[in-house]
Amino acid sequence: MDVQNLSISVGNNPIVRNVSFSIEAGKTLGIVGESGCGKSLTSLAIMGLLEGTQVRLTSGRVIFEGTDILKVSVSERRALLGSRMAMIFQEPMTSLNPVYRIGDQIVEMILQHEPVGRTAAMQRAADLLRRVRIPDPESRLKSFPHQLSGGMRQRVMIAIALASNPVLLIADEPTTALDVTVQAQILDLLEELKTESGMGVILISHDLGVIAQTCHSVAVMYRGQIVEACSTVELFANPLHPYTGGLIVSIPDAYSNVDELNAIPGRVPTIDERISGCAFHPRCHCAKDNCSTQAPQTIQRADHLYQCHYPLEASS
Amino acid sequence: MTLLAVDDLKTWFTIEKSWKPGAADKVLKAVDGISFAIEEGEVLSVVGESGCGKSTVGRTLTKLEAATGGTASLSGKEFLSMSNAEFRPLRQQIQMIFQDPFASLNPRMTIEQTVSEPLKIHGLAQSNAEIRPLIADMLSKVGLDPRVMKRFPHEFSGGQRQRIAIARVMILSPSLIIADEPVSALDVSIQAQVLNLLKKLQSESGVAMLFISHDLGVVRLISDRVAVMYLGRIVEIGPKANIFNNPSHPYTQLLLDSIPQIDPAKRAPKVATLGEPASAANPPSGCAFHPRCPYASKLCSQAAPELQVLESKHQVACHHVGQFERQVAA
Repeated sequence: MDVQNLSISVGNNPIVRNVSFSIEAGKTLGIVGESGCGKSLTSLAIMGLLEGTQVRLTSGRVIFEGTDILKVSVSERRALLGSRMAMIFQEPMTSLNPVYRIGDQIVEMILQHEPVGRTAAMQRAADLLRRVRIPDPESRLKSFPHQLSGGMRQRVMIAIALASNPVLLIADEPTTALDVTVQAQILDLLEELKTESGMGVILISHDLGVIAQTCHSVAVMYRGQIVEACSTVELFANPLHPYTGGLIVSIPDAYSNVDELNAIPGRVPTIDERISGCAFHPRCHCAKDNCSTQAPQTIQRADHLYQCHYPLEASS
Repeated sequence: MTLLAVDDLKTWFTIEKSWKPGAADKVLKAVDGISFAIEEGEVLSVVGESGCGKSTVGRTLTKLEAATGGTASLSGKEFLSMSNAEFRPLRQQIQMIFQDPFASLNPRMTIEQTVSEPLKIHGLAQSNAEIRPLIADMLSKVGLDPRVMKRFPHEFSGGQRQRIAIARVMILSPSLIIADEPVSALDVSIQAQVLNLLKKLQSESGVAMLFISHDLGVVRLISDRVAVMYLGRIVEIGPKANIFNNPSHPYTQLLLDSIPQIDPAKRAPKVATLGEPASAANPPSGCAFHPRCPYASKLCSQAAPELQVLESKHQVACHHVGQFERQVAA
């Protein structure tokens, strides 16, 4: 998948601006940022889930297996969604229908995409539950969502997403609602499934720890723009954008003694605020005069992309 | 000096009334016999996963929930058995900060009204002329411009609202703050600011704090001592250094090893997948953690272990403490 210059607006407020990234089979791309930075909107736009809302795609192309999926008809997109690409969401309780049994919800998905009978589909549903490591899958098919724990529900969501062997999985904060021990299990499961099937994964998260542990490459978003993108190892070893650097040091670490966190000052701007120049300059400790007047271009250094006039190593 | 002493605290909820006369109701033991103490000026954190009862501890100690059994005393005065009227003067001493700053501030009250209300309720000041300088002073202490006094909560971001909630609590100069996940609804960069603020205000004013959180990183930053809860009981309690450098209960170890780490060198080796937290409505027999514990023996499924002293102040509730090696790279 290749996303080129994607821009999204609500009314006259641009929310996502010129976002470009690409994702390869078998790799995980992380998109990280704080609330309101546009990371979820980007993924919803890719999935075509913004139609019929106030939100408009103003420009950009999303090339998936050679076709621009923003241009194809609704029915052609339907064929792609769910079968070639699938999505899992943060809250497994609200994404599952509470009045249908787990088995019926998985079967619905299988019947949509495959010409099989109900009995065969039920059998496949049990296999899927086994693949996501749910014990005793045959009897679990008869459970309702409320009878399962949060971690189990997320496993069911993953099973539904995997029903038609997608080549791309978008996971939007898949573990945010879960306890830390369960989160570790779900992340391990996603990793195993990815290795098994060779699909590409876009993982959206606000948690740098989760990103660091699961992704090959990362895009850091701030106020609708990708301010830094490179491989995960490079990002954490050598962050160039002051925002990335600030995020990394503001996480309280359970493995070292710290007395005070180096917090980024100020607050996340709201979408209707207009900020001239670099969107981060009011909160940036490296900002100089031209940061407030001139928006930085995307600069490439080896495989490391960043948008900053005074990247960290140069200024420190 | 001991400020808060909690002894054998129990908070049970009836989840199903029995229709048979004389038969026992079905109860959920959210907090099931925990004891701890907080010294003056000390920060004790309670950590655990959802459903372990950590929030219920805080809500019981502020009498938002009724205790089923046990005692709690503030500076030697038992207060769980008090009537609400008797407890009212003590409320000034025990204040609470909640997780969601969008729900805990009244949307129809200005910031001035919100922060001055506790002063009026407790009769510490009456006239607005008297109160206004106090509020202005408090707002600047929590990092807000005093001129925002006339505004309403919807004009503020999450982090600013949490600062207002902190101002409302600090203006009473309480001796104990119960903070229930005060930063978990905030973005990382804002969370760091609010944590720094809480830490600064705590050390300046010397207020003691019961800090309830699921995030061990946050806990390590803010606490002096840590209590780890699992299904209504404390499984390990001790000074911060002991808990983080020498976690001795298998559950504490699992919690620490499950945190996603940025630095690959700090990552724990993969822990075996060991199921999910059991429900407090239907707890396992013996040690509640035994179905998930890699070191569990027959004894663990039969008898619940009591807290035993490991070193001076470090206590652990495990039958096999010291009999297993923690598998960690570092």
